[in-house]
Amino acid sequence: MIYDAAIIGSGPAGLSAALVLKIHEKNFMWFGSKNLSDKIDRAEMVNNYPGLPAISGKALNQAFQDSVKSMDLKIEEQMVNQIMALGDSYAVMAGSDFYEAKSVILATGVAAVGTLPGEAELVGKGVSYCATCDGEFYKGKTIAVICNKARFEYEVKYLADLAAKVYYLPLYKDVAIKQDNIEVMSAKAVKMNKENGRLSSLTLSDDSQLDVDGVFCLRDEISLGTLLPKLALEDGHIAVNRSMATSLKGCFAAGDCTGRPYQYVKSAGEGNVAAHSAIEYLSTLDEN
Amino acid sequence: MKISMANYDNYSELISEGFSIVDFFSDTCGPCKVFAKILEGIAADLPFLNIVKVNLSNYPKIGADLKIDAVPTVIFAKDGKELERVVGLMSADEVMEKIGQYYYE
Repeated sequence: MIYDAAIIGSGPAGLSAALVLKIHEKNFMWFGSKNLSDKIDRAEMVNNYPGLPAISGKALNQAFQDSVKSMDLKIEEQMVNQIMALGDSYAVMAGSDFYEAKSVILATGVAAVGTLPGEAELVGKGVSYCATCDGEFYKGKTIAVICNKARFEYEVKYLADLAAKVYYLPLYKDVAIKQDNIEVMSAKAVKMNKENGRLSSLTLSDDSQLDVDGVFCLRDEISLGTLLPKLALEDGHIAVNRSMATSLKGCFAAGDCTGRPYQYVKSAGEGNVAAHSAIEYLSTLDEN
Repeated sequence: MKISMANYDNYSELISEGFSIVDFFSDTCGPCKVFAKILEGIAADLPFLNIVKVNLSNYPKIGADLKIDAVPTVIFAKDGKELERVVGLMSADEVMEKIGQYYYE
């Protein structure tokens, strides 16, 4: 089935867009975290959100959760690792399948974590971002897994059930996953090394070296250029016009990913505009 | 010509003559399913193309022999010899560009 829209991101921009699409009874998929936004949770005090004076980040996130509940919105927690324009629609790839949508609203925020030195040139040569795509090829082998969110631990388990040994390099606290062949490392990966054109090892923050056959990077933040090819960027952000339309037909963007100022209320406003623009775009498709 | 499914017995023969587009995929790979859709569109537009699909979940040795460990991987070949391989999802335009580049070589 082809959805009217897919929203990528569950911060204020994504939520705002989801509310509009729901009110207009559009059939859409909303990808993100059921916790909405870890960033907001950690904010100490927000004084400039109209209607919610002097509110803590935690309380603001709770207020957003109340909106989700009140409109009965559903969030799909699978990590979107790529989007591709198919002409009349977009393929949104998450896990081992893809969803097709006539329009896409990118509300991905700004990535705090970049790629490691050596990483970009080794994608497909020992470095993978997709556990279900490439896990099979490391059956019985030794791999490293870098993961920045606890909610992707199910993908780590998937890999650990295939590989002989997993060096786990989490970028979060409270690691829950436990398995005999998983060694949780306390050091962080700082560099990827190659030999004969392929990944050979990782250099860690304690100056030690991990010899591995492959590394999987499971991050909920992905560089925009990788996520959706041919998307025009400007100063590291997604280029949009005042209707929140990007360079790609049927693709809109909202929130921090479109640029500064990085403010919750700006994101919410842009999410609203992006959703209205998507609805207008969908109506032009119906006319044709 | 259409889209053929390779196995251990027929793989070499399927790509032995002329220009071939070989799509290596696996059962659990999401982007591979998107690429399958893209290839179907191309096959419909250019029915003379020889497109061969190899499911590495079922026939892993074909991938191992070719040192493939990421999917999707596409190999453009002529008379059984590899001209170029691309790892990762390609758009329809990118595939068409390769066809234009290699088909008449």
